[in-house]
Amino acid sequence: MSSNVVSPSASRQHRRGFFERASRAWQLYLFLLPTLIYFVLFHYGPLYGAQIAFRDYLGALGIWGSPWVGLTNFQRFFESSLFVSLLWNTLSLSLLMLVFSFPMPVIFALMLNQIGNQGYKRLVQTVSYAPHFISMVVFVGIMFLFTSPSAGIINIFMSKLGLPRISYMANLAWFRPVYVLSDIWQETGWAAIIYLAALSGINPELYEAATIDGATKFQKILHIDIPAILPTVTIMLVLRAGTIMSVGFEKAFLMQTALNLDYSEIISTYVYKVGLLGAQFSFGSAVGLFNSVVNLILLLVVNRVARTIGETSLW
Amino acid sequence: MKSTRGDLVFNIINYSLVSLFFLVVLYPIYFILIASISNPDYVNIGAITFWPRGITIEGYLRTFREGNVWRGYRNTILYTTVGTSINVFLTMTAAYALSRKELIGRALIMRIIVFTMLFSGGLIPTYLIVKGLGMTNTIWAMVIPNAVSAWNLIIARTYLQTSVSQELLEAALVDGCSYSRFFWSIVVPLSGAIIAVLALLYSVAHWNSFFTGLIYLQDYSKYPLQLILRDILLGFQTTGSADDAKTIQEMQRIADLMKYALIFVASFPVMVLYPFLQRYFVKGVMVGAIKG
Amino acid sequence: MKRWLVIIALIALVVPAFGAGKSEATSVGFHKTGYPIVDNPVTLRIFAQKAPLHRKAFNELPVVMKYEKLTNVHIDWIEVPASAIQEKKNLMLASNDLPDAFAVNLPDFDIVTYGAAKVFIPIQDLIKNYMPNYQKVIAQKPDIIKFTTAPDGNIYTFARLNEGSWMRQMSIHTIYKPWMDKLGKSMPKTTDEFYDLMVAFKNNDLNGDGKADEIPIAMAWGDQANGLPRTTPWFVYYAFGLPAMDTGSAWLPITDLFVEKGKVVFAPADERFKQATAYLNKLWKAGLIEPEAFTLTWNQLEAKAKQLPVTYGVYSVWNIFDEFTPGADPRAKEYVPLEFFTAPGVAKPEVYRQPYPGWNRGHMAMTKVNKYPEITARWVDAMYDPYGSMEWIEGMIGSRLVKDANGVVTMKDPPAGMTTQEYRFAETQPDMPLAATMELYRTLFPAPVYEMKGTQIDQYYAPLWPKEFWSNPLMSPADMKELNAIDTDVRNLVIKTQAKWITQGGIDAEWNDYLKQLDTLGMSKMLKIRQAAYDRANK
Repeated sequence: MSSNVVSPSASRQHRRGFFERASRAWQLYLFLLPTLIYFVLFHYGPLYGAQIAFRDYLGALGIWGSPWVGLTNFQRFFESSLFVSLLWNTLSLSLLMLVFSFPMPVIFALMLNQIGNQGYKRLVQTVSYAPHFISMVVFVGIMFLFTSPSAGIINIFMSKLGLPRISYMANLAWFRPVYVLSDIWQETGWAAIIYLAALSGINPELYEAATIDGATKFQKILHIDIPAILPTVTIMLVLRAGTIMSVGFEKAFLMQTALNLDYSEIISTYVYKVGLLGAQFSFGSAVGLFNSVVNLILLLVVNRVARTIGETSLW
Repeated sequence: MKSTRGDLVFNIINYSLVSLFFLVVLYPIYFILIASISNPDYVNIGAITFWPRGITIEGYLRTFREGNVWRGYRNTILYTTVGTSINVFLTMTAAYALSRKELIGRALIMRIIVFTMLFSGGLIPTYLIVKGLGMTNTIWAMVIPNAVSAWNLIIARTYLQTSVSQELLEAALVDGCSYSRFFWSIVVPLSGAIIAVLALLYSVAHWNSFFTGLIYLQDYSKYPLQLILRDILLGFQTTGSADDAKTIQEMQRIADLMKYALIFVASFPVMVLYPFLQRYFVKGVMVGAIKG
Repeated sequence: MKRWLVIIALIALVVPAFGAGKSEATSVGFHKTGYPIVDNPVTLRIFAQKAPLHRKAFNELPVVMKYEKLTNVHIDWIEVPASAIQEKKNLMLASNDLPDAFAVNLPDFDIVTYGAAKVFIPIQDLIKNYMPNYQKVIAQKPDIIKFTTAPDGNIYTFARLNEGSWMRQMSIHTIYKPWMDKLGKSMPKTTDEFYDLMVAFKNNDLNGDGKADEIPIAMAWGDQANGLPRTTPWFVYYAFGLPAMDTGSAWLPITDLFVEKGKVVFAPADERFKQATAYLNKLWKAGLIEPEAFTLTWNQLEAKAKQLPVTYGVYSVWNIFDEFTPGADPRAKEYVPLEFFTAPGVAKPEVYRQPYPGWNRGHMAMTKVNKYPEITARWVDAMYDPYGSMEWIEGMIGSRLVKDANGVVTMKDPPAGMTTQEYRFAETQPDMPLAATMELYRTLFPAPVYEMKGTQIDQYYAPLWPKEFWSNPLMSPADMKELNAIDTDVRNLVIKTQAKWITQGGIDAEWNDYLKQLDTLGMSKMLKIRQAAYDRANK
């Protein structure tokens, strides 16, 4: 889109023009101001609350009045015999979803974009993101129904194919595959929305030019579509890296059965259970802080890689 | 000739795979539909596969009979429309500013914003600030504390960076157009797709939210739909008083009866929102707009 | 001049002394006895739990309105849905926005911590001076004092008693008599006999449908999200002389502790637990237990059990007469209580004994901002009057409740379109401190359908209860914090391991490692703390 050949004098003019434009850009700050105020007020303002992680918080005493305990809460978390298991369970779900769940919406969007029939395309798209709206409670309930060895549709299907019936939800080895596959089912259509929006912004003239050059549909995808959504995909990847520790509590908790606890007990479910018996705000806060730090490190790493390899990055 | 055959093969494969995915996604939705009109006992023993059994519309009747559900609907529609308007406005303006290289300090501001995605002060201090501003138990608590999502902001910025080119801007500025006018006259009309996406993302977030209302609202009459629904579906799981299990059992039976119907009642409007938004916003995108 | 100053100073000192110690109560015309409680209406802010079945605001409920008129005390309710109680409570505390009282069942941890922090006020004097009804209840059930007293000697909360005779046992274990009759067998007396009977249940197409679809033992191990009672074969553990099993659902979080000869024992670490679990594994391997036990929810199992032809031979339920309506469904009579059998070497089966079934200890606490503690106490006392308790727990006399000439109260059936519970929640807020004692239920407040279960308990369970039981006394905040950490880990381990041993076996080989692991997690510390609490409460 931008011309790469530029003469020396033109580049000087370009630079001069930049500063000239920058000085007129005060309007941009006006555009940014309300949002910035919002972030400062509602996100930086409350930040002092993060110190709960270093205190023994008791509601009656307030945040400042609760005794300071330094790293005790963190210690309790790290020294727990479950620490490694919790960490690994959380990370493995995250990584599996990154590898399997993340690419699916991209592929789906690329494919759906090539569907010629607009009516069918819109129908598929609408149905595809419908699962996202099913509340997790009902969704997991349905999963249990579908995977039932006696009456579930999956096992009925499997047995017709001559495969053995398995109680997927009571089976340790199947926990992670079921978790990831169900995530793909539930979230692909929804996540694809953004990619489809990006694809819809592609200049139709590019396609026309490609057709004139004799490109097949597949080649068009390769040379037009993919480069067009690559920035979006990159940003999404960076953002995903920044949430790697934040595997949601609800789904894992609902999927837990006595037989899959070895894999299904993740950091968030454990913190929830600890908190159930006594309002353990401090403990939860310390764990949350730990999660955030790990998230941050990963985000920085992936962002740096993205900046080095490609053009898009967060900053 | 060659390309047509290659395209034909491609189309067949593409349509097949897409349709396969479509069916796989469709089945559970279909299941919920038939379960919502079936006797919950049949659902519980797994006797429902392709057809409803023990047809009953009581799930729907109960849902609609719940006066609270209607009020919840009204409240949610209000919070969603007001909230989303604020959201989209703030997000688009900020994304525009952040997408321009001329904004000095852009990298720093991005870091400031991204930081908030990772670290938070927690519920209590946020609550205290909202309370201090006098917003509790009002609509403002439902739309201001979540006015901008950093995630959505980044997505919008990415879109604006890639689809509104630098040349376009420079050309306009040379012509004497201000940054502000450029936004309203050129960027916005070109951004139909991303505005629709933002509207959808924020609307759904508002529509599905229950925690905000839980914390900030006191009057039951102001409760949004999801809060009321969650109460019905999950409210029997209390660690409350020893009451005979019968109370809990009965509440669970009612929840069972209603839960599938509730999904449709609660989600349907938002689900059909997007195709509607798409058609409205995304009109013949960039035809003739780019001058190279 | 100096003299005047001294006089003024003296007056300034003395006059407030007259005002001090007098609560605001007198300023509103407080009456120590009789109704109304106050001459000028007083408003109390009370934090209460709203059930999903509550369609009306509390102040529109007949019972609430009746008592407001009676006592002249108006309540400004803070109605909070159950899912939000913890958060809302903490937020109120954090923003210094305390209500006059919390009328929800407070967890033990809150009681001792906020008591110690003086956010809750001690109420033992209020009970003594202003609450004759509650005192009558205490006279009947003196354990209430022990039950609600915190380690610092104060009482911070009221007890709520819902002592239906049917509350004393979580599950009634039943067996399907027609199948036993067909086989010509009587109740098994030993574990071996039981095993053989179950095998016979499985193999003889006893439900006559030509398919091998009989499942001898129904079991739903419980889903985590629900606190619903599980359908678990606890009787297997009783057979080995272990009056406890189960690491707890939200319903009864203390069922893995019992007391033997004054010592607190953690059942999952006991030798008898090992033997009983091995036996369960034997049953599982032989296909005698519901194979989907670990993924079925309670209500899914119930739906299955309701189907005809009959699937389950042994079915453990909350109340068999709830499952099958007596008179309408013959199975109400055909599923008879299982008589407990024993393992070799065990003298008699020991049945789990609930500590204080139907009691909640944390039911209402008054906060330090309450200007009218005596008025509050008297207002609560109205709920401890027998008829007050009845009204608050089930509905208004004259509306849902009907009182006859002898003072006996019965409940009306719900009008068309309403279920029983919906009818109840349209009349009252039952989640308040009150005392529906067993004696009350058996005299003035009969519940015939529930009493059928009560009779079963009397016959088959009560005689087998051990004398000692773990009473779950309140412990200090420091103790509770320590226990909290240990409990979560220990219970996780037990849940996992027990499920594995039942389905896959291996208990003999892994038992010792398991005990070692429990120790690393802090089991002995946990027992020490609990033993100390038990000794302290029972000295």
